[in-house]
Amino acid sequence: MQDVLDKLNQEMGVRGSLVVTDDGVVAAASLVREEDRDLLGALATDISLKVRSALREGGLEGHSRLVLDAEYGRIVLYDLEVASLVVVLDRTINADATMIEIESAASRIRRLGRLFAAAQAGEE
Amino acid sequence: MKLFSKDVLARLRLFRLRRQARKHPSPAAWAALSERCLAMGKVEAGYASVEEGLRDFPTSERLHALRRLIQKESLRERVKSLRQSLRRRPDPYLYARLANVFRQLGELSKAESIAEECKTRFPCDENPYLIIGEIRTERFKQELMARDGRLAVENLERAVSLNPDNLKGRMQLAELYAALGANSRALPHLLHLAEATPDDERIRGLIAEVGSRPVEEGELGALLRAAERRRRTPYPFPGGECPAGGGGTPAAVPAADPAAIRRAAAGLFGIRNLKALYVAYEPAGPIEVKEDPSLQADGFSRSAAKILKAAEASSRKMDMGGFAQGFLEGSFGRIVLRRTQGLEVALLLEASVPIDVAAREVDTFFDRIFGSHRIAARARRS
Repeated sequence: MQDVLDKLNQEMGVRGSLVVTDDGVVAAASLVREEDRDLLGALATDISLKVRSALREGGLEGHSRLVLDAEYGRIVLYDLEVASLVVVLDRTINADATMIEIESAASRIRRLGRLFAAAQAGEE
Repeated sequence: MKLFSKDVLARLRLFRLRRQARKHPSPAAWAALSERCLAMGKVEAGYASVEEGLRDFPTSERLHALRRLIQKESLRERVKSLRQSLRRRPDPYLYARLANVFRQLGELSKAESIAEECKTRFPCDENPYLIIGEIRTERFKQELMARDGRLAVENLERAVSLNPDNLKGRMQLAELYAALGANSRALPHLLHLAEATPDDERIRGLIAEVGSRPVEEGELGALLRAAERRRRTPYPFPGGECPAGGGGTPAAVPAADPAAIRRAAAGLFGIRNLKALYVAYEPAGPIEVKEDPSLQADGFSRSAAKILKAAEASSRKMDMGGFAQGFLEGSFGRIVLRRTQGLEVALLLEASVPIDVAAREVDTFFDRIFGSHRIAARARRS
């Protein structure tokens, strides 16, 4: 998982990425400033839960991707079933090209998660 | 037998395009000429054509976009060569140049991280502190976030302490203090500046103005938090406009009229496969709402309002400034979100509607309301 994030971080405009579980635990992270790890994890979980709850309230469930553009950056959140992939980007980049890379990283992490879950189930 | 070489034909085409642009000037004609120059590798000629076009059409979106593109491309080349030089011989001056190129590219976080790297390597050099101070000051002017203000002050103070003759840093610090009403902090810097530049009328005027104000009450942190809370600084930023509304006046953008918003929103109803719509304006609350009959009553409006609020809060907490736009995808379809100057829009669309189509409609909606102001602001900036 760490390798996938490290590779993603080499893409142009990617400032950092992390995988965070629904209870706010950072499973893996690749950030320029390591000290941002916990803060970003907590904030990403917070927005993810708030969005999920707001959607549920309106009878709209099951979001897979959330992209937020702010004045100085862009946040992308991919739902990975029991966790989320969070990517922080520069606002100025060509989003389309990088988005494909993020999507591919999300599907690789999702696959890894499934493999891990299957291995755990096998052990039990 | 070929009478003309490819090169001659290309030059001839260029000549025709230039003649066309000068005879019948239009943004499209100038853009076509510039693009042709770029395709031929004549970057400087392409840039000159855009500049010439912008003299005739200073608000042309296409020409501005083209100019930004050319500038970015040439700056990227500079980034490459500066990085190479830094690898060979790390030097605070090169770091400062690289950080400034990133600033010109609009990649402020990269500029800051370059300056941070320089700070680690050369902690006694004033330049990285000055760069971070400038970036944070600019952000504070835009967003009025206390954190930006605090970082601006810390870094500028450090730059000035490392080099007391750094007049640029001192001036920025004095202006920031003056806008915050931290008058007793602004005065020593202004007096130092007056000593260095005794003929500067502006500094003398500032000294007179700041000196006549009452002494501030409270710590700097409290002044910054008050500015964040009130969305304005107690005094104007000297010698410049303040987009966030600093300077004791509300935002420079004219307030939108709810009736005009309703009229403009009519255009959004025309989007094919639109399931629900939510338009709200900060002072007036929800203005236009269309709900999907298959959803709960007011379901989308409530969801949209909460998502927009969460997005705004998270963007600020993540140190990214105010939320501007976003989208959500899921089994329900797509949600397009936008927030500008207190006006919020959320659209719920079928999954088949391309995001860029919906985004264009939302752009048109915002242009109808804030368009003339935006164009004027962009022209001023350029």
